[in-house]
Amino acid sequence: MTKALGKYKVIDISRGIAGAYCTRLMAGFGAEVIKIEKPNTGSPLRRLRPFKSNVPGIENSGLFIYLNTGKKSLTLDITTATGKQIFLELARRADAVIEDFAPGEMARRGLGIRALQQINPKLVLTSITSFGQSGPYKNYRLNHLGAWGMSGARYNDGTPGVKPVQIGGWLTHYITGLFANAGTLTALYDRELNGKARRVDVSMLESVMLITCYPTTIYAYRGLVHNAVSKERMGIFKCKDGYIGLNLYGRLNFELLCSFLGLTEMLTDPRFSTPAAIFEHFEEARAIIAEKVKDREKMELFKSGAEWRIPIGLVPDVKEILESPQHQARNFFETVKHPAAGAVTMPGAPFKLSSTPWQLTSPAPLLGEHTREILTGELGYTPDDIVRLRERGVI
Amino acid sequence: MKPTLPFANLRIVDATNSWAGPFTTQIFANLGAEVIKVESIQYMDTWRASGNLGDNQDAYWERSPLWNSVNTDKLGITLDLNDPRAKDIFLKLVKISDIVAENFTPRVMKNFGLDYPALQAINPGIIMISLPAHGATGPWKDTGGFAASIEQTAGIPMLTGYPDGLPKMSSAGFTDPIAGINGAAAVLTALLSRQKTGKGQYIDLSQVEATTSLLGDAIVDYSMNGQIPPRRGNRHPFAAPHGYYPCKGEDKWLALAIYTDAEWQKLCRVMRQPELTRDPRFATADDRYRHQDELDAIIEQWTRQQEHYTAMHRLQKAGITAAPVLNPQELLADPHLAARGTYSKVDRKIMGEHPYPVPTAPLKLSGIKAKIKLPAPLLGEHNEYVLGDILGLSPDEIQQLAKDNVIGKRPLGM
Repeated sequence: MTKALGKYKVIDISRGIAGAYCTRLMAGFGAEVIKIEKPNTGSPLRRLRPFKSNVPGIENSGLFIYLNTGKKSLTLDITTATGKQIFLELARRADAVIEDFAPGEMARRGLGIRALQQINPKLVLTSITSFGQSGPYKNYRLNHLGAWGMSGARYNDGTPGVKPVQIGGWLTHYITGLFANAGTLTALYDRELNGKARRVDVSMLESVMLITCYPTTIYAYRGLVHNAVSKERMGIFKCKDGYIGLNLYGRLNFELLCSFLGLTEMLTDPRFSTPAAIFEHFEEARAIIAEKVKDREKMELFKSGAEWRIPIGLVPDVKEILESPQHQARNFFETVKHPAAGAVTMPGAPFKLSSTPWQLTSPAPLLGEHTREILTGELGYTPDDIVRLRERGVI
Repeated sequence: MKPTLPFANLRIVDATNSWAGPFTTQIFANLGAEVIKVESIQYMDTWRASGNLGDNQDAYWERSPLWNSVNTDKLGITLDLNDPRAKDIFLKLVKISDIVAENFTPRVMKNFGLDYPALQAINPGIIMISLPAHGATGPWKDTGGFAASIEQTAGIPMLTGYPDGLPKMSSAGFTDPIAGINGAAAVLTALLSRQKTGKGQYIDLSQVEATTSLLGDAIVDYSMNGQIPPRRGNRHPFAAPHGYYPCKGEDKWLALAIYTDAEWQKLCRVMRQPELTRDPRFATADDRYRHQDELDAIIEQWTRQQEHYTAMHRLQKAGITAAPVLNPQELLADPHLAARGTYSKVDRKIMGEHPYPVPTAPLKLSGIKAKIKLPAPLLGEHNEYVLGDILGLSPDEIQQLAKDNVIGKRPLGM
């Protein structure tokens, strides 16, 4: 089958989720991705949950498995002279290197953009950091919590004075990975056309800010610090057997909902007569609605809501997502057999390309699984070299 | 002259609306592609009403902060695709374009006779991307979706919020740009493939799938262990303290996290409470994790006396991960973002000059200073340029189309 990125070789020396997600998308569309890991300990992702049977172990991390399916693993200590040499040999043959060290750290190791493009002028280098390669905060660090906070995302929910809450999962890291992926592909496309290989400077803060940027433009236009548009939608409610989401867009949806729930008195109540009035009496409106839905079942609400053309949403947990008929009909999930963790079901293609489909043909690599194959293959090291490198801790 | 921006040789017909599809095409527009946004005076992009709540002014459709911020650098035309002349114009554009983008439910483009097979027939190199809520196939394909319902269906709220509280929404509508940046990656993947084959292809992007893909580890947890990961509020699986702490002033917060013993000792020094380093309740990471409610109270006492920005600088310089929660006013004035050119000011008719986020700010390319060059187009602003200068229609033909309401510059009935 045709592979969209079949001719590209990518070296992933990143340690975090963002870099790994970036190269997961490249591997899925056919690029050869070599993940470089520290000898013995491996990628830090190997130490993150979830673990198979909840037992931590270097080959047990479900997070690592999800992010690295379809890649190769090479162990290499790039702080040694030989390790550095091997890295440069790999970079010479590669199209892109993805890294997430602090700004300047690769350069200090003699592996900065100049050194890399000197041995391979057509190499794209994508660098993922918290704040980017420039600017006064470039040496500061962000985590998921900090990136979500600093982005100003909380100013979407119209709750001044209430402690912000971080978004779930590791979303901010994944989102940064999406921008790293788009940036790397942009640079590769540019190289195909213009012959110029660029450095891609990916910033986590700017990635998260951009996808939560409603409030800044609204502030610029109207001077509003807290954008409360979301309150019109009402949000999530507890019902008898779980949760449902009310996603009311506009007055018509609100009127339909009030009729649907037998709350027509709300329509003549001055507290709820305009969107602005509803914002002011938001908690009161929610309390009235909550009382009406608390004893009903989610599926029944969802289905009868749909008949009334009210945008009621199910709020599935991961189990219900795995059982979704829509996902099953589209073969969204794929099951990959991993030598240590067994059969693992995970999201497959994030988007479907008609003639160059997503395909991950190998499970996530064991630590250093491909070290020998890569070094003795095109790099031309002998089996004796491998023994020596291993003894010296280079691989 | 050789094009200097990566996408200077690309033309995109953009029939998308709201935020997801427009964000995909905006990435290309910002780096040089000619993006022609197609609306109609019968059916404007509904997002033109977004965020201008309470503004009861003339030409409200030109006043949406959100629409105006996600359609920068694009040209705008109107075409009533129910008219055969409009459809003919659309196809003429497709013939000389590289990419067609749309995010209707799947039946819409098919009903117009503008689905992928129709476009491919006139331009085999064309790449078409659809970004419907649930994808182009499957039992839910015709079920519409908005940001809020997509966020729910994708599974984010069940992982967000406090363990004893309700599932929480981001309220940021961010599944749109999440789908949008996936869309840009998808189109780029198809473009790189076309470099080799010369052939275009069809991209089916489900906004729900693109978003659920960012929760892969939680899905795998259920698959491997049959367990549903809990909502964890502001907690971390093993780091403590970890949370948002109130600072001096009204509604000011600091994100603060401690991962290692060394960081903990540094924090105690910055807080000028060295005795805490000897407190057995907080000696190891496990101890701190077990006593995090007590820790939170201690840290909060300190942060309440601190300015959030000052605290970030002091803590970061000591090697601790800390960040202020910034409001829009602070973001627009932040010196780091200013130095990075994260926002770009542009003057738009009717609205005047405002800062907008640069869509490619997160992926800066060496040698390119990305900024916004064109404001979002007024409704039908580029009808004459696109139909006349690009497609060669005569002024008379254009005038006739306007007379018949096939094109126009004001929504019908306004």
